[in-house]
Amino acid sequence: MGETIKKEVNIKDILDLFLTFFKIGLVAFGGGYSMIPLIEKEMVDKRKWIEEEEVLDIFALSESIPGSLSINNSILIGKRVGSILGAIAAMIGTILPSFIIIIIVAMAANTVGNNPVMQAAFVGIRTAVAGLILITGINMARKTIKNKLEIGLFVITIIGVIFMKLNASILILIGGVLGILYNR
Amino acid sequence: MVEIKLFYIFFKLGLLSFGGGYTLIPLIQQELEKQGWMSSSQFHDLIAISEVTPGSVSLNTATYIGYEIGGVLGSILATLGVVLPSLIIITLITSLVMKQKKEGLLDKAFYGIRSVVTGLILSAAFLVGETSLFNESITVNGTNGARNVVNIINGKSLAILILVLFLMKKTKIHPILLILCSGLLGVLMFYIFK
Repeated sequence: MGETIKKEVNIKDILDLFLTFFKIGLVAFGGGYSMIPLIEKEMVDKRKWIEEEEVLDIFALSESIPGSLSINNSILIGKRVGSILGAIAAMIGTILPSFIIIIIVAMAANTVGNNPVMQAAFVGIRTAVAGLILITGINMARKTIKNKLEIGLFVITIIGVIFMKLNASILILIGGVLGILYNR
Repeated sequence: MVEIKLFYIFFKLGLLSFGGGYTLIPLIQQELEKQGWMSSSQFHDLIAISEVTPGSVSLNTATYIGYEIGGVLGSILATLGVVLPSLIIITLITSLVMKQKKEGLLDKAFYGIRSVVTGLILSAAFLVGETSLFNESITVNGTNGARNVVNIINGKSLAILILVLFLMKKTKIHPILLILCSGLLGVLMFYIFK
């Protein structure tokens, strides 16, 4: 999460940020976490803008501050690559696809949700997104979850969110406090 | 002007949106009631659409409500309102974060937060796939015996899941392509060959 990339901010990167986040925004079915496999593919693998280890930190920071995950992520990564301009380009790129789609749907008077073809497609899409997040999550867990505290927090989070419908903020707070206490 | 009001209300909401998009929904509903802008059932229909369209549900809801109340200008201002707090806060804190010493308090807190976020990621996988993969909600009827598992899990969705997992692990096919093809598979399996 540390140093900014020390290079000149150039227009090509700003445009690239906008287009990449636009592309990701188009298929981000399921919100912020569905972006993980795409961020890894486009930004870690292809463009080497961020390292794989930093993805978790970016999400951790995004979860800790107000705002939706996808917006916070885009601003953080955009700022890293291209300073304030990059942050704005990435943010607009993320907002635009869903904005356009919602306006179209609203104008077409809500027929999307009830259309049986669309609903069938969404079942397939949700399944795929779940699978992609699953693989990415398991890979990350393999690398980061090692000792008892990490395992404990990891398991508590999963149980808390899935079975007890806990708010993520509480868990983040617990994680932060325990992290400080553990490393005293 | 109603558009300015939209901006202001969603800016306020944006400041309060901690911990996942769904936490904002009841707050939005309260505001709508206060303003008398929308009925409960209208709001619930709107949420349903915001959930299936790409992007975060809180953002989509802001855009949608903005449009219903104030047209295109309303949707622009509502959307800008809800994202501006994030932009401002991140701009302010990133310089702060970079000045933190290594092994400082923030570093230690993040050590724990990372494990929580890893858990959140895997939970997200479950929550996103839950409605597609299971015929009943297993978090409600969680005590079905082993022989009922076959009935609970949707076989067609499971097939898509296995295919996606396999292709993701063994090939370099782009995730976007996998998502779009699964949409087509969905239409094939759940509409054409019902």
